[in-house]
Amino acid sequence: MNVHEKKYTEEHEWIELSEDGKTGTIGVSVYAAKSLGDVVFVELPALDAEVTAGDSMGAVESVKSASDILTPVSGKIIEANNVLEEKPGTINKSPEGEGWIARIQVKDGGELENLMSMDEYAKFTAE
Amino acid sequence: MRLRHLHLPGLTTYLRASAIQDHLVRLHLDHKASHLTAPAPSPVLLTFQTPPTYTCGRREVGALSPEQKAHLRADGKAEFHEALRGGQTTFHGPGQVTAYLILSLREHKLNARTHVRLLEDSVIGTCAGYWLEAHTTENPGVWIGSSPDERKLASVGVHLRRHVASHGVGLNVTVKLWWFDRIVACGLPEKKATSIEKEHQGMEPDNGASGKVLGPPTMPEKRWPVLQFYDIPRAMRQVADNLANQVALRLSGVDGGVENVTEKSIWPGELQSRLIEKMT
Repeated sequence: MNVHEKKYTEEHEWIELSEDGKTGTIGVSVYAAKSLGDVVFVELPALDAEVTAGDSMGAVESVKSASDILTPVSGKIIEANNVLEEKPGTINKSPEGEGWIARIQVKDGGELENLMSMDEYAKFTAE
Repeated sequence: MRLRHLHLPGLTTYLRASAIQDHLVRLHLDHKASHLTAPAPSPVLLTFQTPPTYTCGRREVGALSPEQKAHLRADGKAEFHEALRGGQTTFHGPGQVTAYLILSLREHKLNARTHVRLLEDSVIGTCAGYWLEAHTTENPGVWIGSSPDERKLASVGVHLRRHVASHGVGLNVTVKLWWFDRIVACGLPEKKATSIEKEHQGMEPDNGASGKVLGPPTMPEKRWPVLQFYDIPRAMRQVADNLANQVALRLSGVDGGVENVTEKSIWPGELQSRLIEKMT
């Protein structure tokens, strides 16, 4: 079991820390993927980009609308999920698994404390 | 709450309209960031016509070759800009009502899909007022006619940041359609663009007792007020106003209809002069 709980933002991104707590995997939630509809294009973040929590780091585009993806935490982008370039629909199939978007070197783990737990997020989206 | 409608008469450059849109988006984002108890900014529909302008969508940003951009600029007859909206290359220009709807999705109980549907339905409702049965297909936009002869009357493209929506629709009223022949509009090579004016060809104007009307000659009982195509500014204003009414009807939380606003009232003078500096 992962020692770090998956956390969610109000903008429907999720982040899950690695066991050592140094890197985080970021994606969009099942809820977000459903409300977007079929994803036709994913704009991935640039490698080595330094980002601040809340910055736009890419976009997910469904047929007619492009939604910015905001990074939940500050840090440096160390990996992007290139599978999404060829198969953007992976986000619809597995938004919180194979459809992850990027990995980030987390600058300040404390930033995660402001985010919602899975339960809190479930309540938030039920509103 | 009312839907604020800002109609810019005449021609507005794409960059100027974008600057106004950016300002309105910024107001929403600032409101979200500060968690003020003050009410959220009202939704705004910005309607305007641009000089001939081609724009590409987000997935084509940085992807067009210098030759492709030169083709789109047509020896300086058109501008080219990259947009962060969804969708692919399209055209905006004189005779098209370009409408940007800037609002907070949550405030109106919308998500990415229902917001696009609201825009499409509002265009369809507007067209019904001009005796045109428009509809959506499996392809983006609003169409007229049935397969394989569908013609595209309006394009749709939206940008979302923190659930603040911007961009919107381009509805062809009297626009010269050859501008669309120069591109593969929205990635569909076999499809043609159309306009309200073009679709009205073959319908018969009639100066009857009820004033100017228009409708299919065979159905005199179902005639409709004519759009005065010889008075373009008035026709554009009329279509823009109808579109605003259609959007207001469908927006949850909007109960007072449309409030027409002036540029000055939502776009402070200090920002205007800064923008003008930037552009000159």
